[in-house]
Amino acid sequence: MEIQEFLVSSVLLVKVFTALLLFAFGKLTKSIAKYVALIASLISLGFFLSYLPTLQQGISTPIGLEFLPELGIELSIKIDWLTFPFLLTEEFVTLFAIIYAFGGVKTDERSHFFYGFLLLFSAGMSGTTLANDIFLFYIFWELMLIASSILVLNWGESIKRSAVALKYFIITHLGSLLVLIAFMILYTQSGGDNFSALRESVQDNPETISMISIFFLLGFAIKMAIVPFHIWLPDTHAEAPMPVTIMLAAAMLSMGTYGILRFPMSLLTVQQFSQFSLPLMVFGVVSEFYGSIMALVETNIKRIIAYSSVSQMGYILFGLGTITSLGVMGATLHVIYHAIVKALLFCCVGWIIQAVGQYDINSIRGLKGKMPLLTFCFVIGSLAISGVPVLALFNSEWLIFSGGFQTQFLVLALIEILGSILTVAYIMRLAGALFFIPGNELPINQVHVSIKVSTVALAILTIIAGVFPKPLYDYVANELPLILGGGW
Amino acid sequence: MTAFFPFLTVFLIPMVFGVGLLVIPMSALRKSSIQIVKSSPILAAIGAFTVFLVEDINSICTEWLAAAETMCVGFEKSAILIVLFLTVGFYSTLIIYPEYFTRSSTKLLGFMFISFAAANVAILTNHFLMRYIALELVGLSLVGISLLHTISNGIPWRNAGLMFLNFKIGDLGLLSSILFMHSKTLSFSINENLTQAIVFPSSARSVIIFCLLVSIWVKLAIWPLNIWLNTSSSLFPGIRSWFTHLLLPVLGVYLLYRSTVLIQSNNAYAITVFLFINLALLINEIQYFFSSSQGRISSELHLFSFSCLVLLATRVDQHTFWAYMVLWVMVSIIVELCKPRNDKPQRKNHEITKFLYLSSQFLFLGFLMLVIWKISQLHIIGPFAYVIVWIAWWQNVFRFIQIPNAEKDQGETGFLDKAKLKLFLGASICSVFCLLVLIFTAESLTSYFKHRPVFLFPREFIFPEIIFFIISFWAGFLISILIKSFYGIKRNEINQFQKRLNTFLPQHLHNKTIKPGTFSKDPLDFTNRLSNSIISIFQFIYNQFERSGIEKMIYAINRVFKYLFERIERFTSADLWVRILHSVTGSSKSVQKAHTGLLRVNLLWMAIFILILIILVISFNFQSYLLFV
Repeated sequence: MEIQEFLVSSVLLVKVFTALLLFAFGKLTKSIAKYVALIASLISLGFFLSYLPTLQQGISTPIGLEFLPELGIELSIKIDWLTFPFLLTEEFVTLFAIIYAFGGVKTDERSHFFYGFLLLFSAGMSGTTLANDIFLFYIFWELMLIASSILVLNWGESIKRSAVALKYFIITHLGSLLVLIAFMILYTQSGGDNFSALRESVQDNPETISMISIFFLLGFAIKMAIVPFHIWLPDTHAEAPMPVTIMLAAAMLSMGTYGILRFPMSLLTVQQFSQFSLPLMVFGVVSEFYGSIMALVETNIKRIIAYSSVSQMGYILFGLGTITSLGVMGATLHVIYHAIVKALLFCCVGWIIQAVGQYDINSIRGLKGKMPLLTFCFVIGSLAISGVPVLALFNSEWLIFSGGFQTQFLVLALIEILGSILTVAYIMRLAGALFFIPGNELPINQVHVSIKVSTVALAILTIIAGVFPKPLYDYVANELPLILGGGW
Repeated sequence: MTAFFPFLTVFLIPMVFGVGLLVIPMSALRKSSIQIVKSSPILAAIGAFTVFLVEDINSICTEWLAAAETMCVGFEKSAILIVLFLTVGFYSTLIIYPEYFTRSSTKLLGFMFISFAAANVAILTNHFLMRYIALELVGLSLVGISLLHTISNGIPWRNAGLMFLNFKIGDLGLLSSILFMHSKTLSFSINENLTQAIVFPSSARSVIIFCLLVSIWVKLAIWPLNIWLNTSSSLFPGIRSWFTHLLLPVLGVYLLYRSTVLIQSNNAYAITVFLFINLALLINEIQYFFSSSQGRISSELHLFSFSCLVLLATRVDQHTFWAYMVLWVMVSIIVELCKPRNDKPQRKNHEITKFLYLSSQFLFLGFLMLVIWKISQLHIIGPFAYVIVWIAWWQNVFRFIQIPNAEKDQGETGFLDKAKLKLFLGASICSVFCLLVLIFTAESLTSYFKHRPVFLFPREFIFPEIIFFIISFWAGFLISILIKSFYGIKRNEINQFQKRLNTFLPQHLHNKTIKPGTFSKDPLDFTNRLSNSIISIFQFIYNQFERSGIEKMIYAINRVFKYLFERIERFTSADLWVRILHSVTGSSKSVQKAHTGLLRVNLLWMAIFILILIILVISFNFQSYLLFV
């Protein structure tokens, strides 16, 4: 095995094996489970970053394992430029979620299971991104869902957790089934499961293009929580323990985007995909508005940020729908930046909840004087999500908007821009109520240092990502030749 | 010559100082270091001035946002002149209001420096996106200051929030126009975009102009995008003066200057803007109708001058507008320099200073009106629109004469004692002279920088017209004062004045045997009733649409949102799923109780069903599998 192959497989296997180790020797390791999980995620991240020079040289060799050769099924993984932004997001988000969990989740008898499932959840996302064949893709896609459902079911924050987990599982699984149907059609057409074979088969069978694309888009839209398929998201985000919420909002939602980029947008040409441009843009705008409006009237602070995710996913879908290089680039960058900012906002909310023990926006007031560091971090997060320049999300937002103006749907582009005023409105309402409006004197509990560390680190990352956008942009720009036949 | 020195002085140093003041704790800063920071605009002025000494100067460029081409800060001499003016204004603010920028308010000073540095870049750059970013930073600085002020003085957070929203609307307007132009030209160069935009289809141009005007409207605080101006009224005087009377208007007018060609590319656009600015002017008058405090009236006069500039932008060519802009910037700086301090103990002759300060603003407005009068005659709607400007001006004069009595004891004799009147007339002649000098300077500067002579008075003017206008202007002023003095109006609110007239006049008429309840044919009474009715209409409009309009709208939207939230979101919330789960488990338990083993059988059937499905799928494609194998 070459060093590159070792690095690629290790990114995934380190997390899977560590999770299995935690399950197997849980009773022995429960007190150190969190450190084991942290080390595993760090090693995985290290392996991924070590592969970057190879990727920059243009080398992207898949690693294959013959599974069912008679049926044309080969398990294969690969890192390419389309994988890069999503894997980067997942690895970093996992790391921050685990650091947060140090103080955010109590160590008890089941800790090793918690960290084990957390790693499996992360491995599910990494595996989905790394997969180079539909068989493996679907296995990890389901692993991601099962692991996250178990986490919500067992470590959910209220008695509703079983219902919420069920709801989450059923609805997102419906999406998975739609994706599965598309896979089955593709598989029967191509006779193989490798991504490279799928594109050729799709082009050979143009009559199925629309049907396959619709299944894919619906399936992945459910994962992205696009309105009206978003109904699983607010409850799940509110119910899940905070580290899981961070992973759900910051990383898992982007899996839908990855799916759209990897399948319909990689398999089809610009002309073939253009029939979906308008629906994607419309649904993007609707999601943006609806999510923002709901965030404006919601009173649970965790759910406000959850609705904000619905809104932000709208931006991403809109960007993809523009089918312009700027729009798609913006959407991909938005995935990364949104992950950073959303993780930051959830960390802040988690900090607040731990400190004051309240969820209701109306019962928390005037935290500014008591928690200046938290205020700083939250303000950075609020400004970033409002699309203020020199902070992360601005760089992707203007690209998305610009993509919108390059289409023939000028009105939609204008509405999309107008929608960002609602983003400002809901985040101002939240920030104002929590920090700047004086009010009731709530007792402040001690908050674990790990929560503070992860929050501050994310705030700094938000600034750095905004001030130095070029490296990331250059990396992400490499994905363009892989999408829509590279015919930009 | 390298551009680094001016770039260092007008942008880098102020920005570093600004960020430094925000980041470094107050306790770590010495008094002397604050003094050094406060003196740095002198360096900026030197840096800007050096640009005039060289023939050719290169730009400072960066590839910050990879997709947005190379961003450059150039040093075009006409733009650097505006930067120089801004520097003077900025430094003057720091000097005039030293007590607000001390060691205890380093954060405020930090935001001021950031706004200054960002504004310089906004003016100097030829890159649209860079200008957008710089303008947004300027707005954010004011929001930041508002927030700090909110914190320290307990003024509601709502102010900062509204301000942020208001600026965001303007910024998004600008961003939309930029991106729309970029989609057509594939360039972010301001010159290139505006030049090419002239030949865009009419619909595209309309969108671009509308979006640009949204941004200009916000910066100039023109109705209905003037929320930030009202919320900023609670800021410290020095900061308010810098942001609301100098910085943001300068940026707005500069943006207007750049857009002039586009606005005038079609007569319909110009007329629309012309009409809309009149509407805004009228609404502004309604908003400020009941105000007679000096600060409010001063703000209103500024708004009036912005409106006049927008009107000019619809009619005069770009070069001439540049001259008006330069003149306006110079006058604004001088007016701010001469502004009497209300927040300090009053000096001797404070009223006279205040009077002269306001009258000089009126004089400048008079000049602008003179020009508008002439150019408005070039179009059929011009004279009608001019009537509104004229009414607005008189409305201001009327409120202006209330000030001395509004803020003084009733026993004062006002301005009518001989010494004061002499001083007033002397100062008036001086201010006319000063204005003429400024006009001449603006014309010379334009000729120098734009290589083309301009004439700020419209060429159609004839000498007697000017003389007549000046005489009628001052005569009107003096007559107003005389009327005030004669009737002894000593209240500070115009509605109170109206009430007094209402009670005063019928009594007189009653004494002259007019029975109560009968119709009075007295013309004065009629006009009084008319004005009362107009005031009532204004009051109604103000109460219904201005004062509580936004609240009502928000309330209505809130109701809709809440309805949506309760009906749709709650319906799909976890509660429903809890009920479903209980119902499923409950029914399954009861079924199992009734028929033991049924669930197992069901699962078996389900497994069989899945197996059949798999077999079907494989059998349908069996041929292809065989071929593949």
